[in-house]
Amino acid sequence: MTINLTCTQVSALLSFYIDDRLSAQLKQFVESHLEVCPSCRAKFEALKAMVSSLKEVHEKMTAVKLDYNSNQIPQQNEEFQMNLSAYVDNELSDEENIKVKKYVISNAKARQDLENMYNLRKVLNNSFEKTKNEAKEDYSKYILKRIDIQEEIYGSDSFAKVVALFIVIFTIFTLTAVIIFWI
Amino acid sequence: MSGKLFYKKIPLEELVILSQKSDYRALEELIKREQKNIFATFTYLSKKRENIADLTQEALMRMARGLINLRNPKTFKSWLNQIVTNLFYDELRKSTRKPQLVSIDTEPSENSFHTQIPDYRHKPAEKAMSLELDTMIKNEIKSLPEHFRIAIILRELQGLSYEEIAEATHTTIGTVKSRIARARGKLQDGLKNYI
Repeated sequence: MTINLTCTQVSALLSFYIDDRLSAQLKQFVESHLEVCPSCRAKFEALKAMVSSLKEVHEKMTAVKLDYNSNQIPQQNEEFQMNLSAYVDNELSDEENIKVKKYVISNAKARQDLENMYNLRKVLNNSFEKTKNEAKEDYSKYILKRIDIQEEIYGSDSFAKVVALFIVIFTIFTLTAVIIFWI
Repeated sequence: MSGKLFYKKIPLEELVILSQKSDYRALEELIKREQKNIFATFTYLSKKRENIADLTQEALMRMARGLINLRNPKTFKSWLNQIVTNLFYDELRKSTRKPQLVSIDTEPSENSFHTQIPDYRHKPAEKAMSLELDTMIKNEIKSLPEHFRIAIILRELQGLSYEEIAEATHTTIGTVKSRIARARGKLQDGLKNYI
């Protein structure tokens, strides 16, 4: 016996169908509906694509976890420390970011390492702020004055060039006049 | 609104553009805004205390003079740090060429009779502790190899990205990543009793 399912009924059953959790008979009813109904088939394709991409991400994350776990003492591993440092600076790719995050969540020693890194950063920033505030000297007037002087020198320099050019032209002109007069 | 206050409120990027158009008051404000930062940077970079003020002035001078050639005002920060980095490397080259000199105006040694008057205000013990920590941090940073030192300073003090640091120090992002991580490792080792 074949029961013709409605589109609403198929929609409700789709995710179970994709997970292969329907009875053999119900599965057959859904399949026969999908064969004749293009809109439900489109819904099915979209849902299937979404689920498979989610599965892919999940697999990637699991693989990442295994990757770090396969390393016995990753805290002492230079690469892990390097990634932890880049993680603090927000300079990792999404995948590496997940890798570090997952490892830090599951490992107390790595968590301590990360905390130490944040502490170091805090201490350094305090020191930098303090040093910045200690700088009392104001150089602005001095720098502007030096620029002014240089521009003056540069200005007089170009003036000297114009004068020199004028002298050269004048000399050439005089020499030519003298030669012509001589001839 | 008075002129000074007006310039104080202008965002950095606009200040750069105005300075490029020979607005001297904008340039003055720009120097005022950046000088503390540059001074602090050289405090950690330069091993010689007496050079810090000169290096700061030189960096500001190069900034003021070269600003006209900066095409994209958005890159001002990394451009300025390139000036700082170049000056730092210049200083390094000079100091390796010059023989070590011993000044007769050295700081008083332990045996000299300079006395210090204790200051009991503002929780002296805590102040001494933070002062000690601050000195320790500066010493630890200065004892880092030069490439590590510049990388960690450009990152932590100047807030540059790895890409910008790579550009300023003429190296790759991977190298910057490794230098910063190793600098942090060394600093953590050196300061482990304090943090």
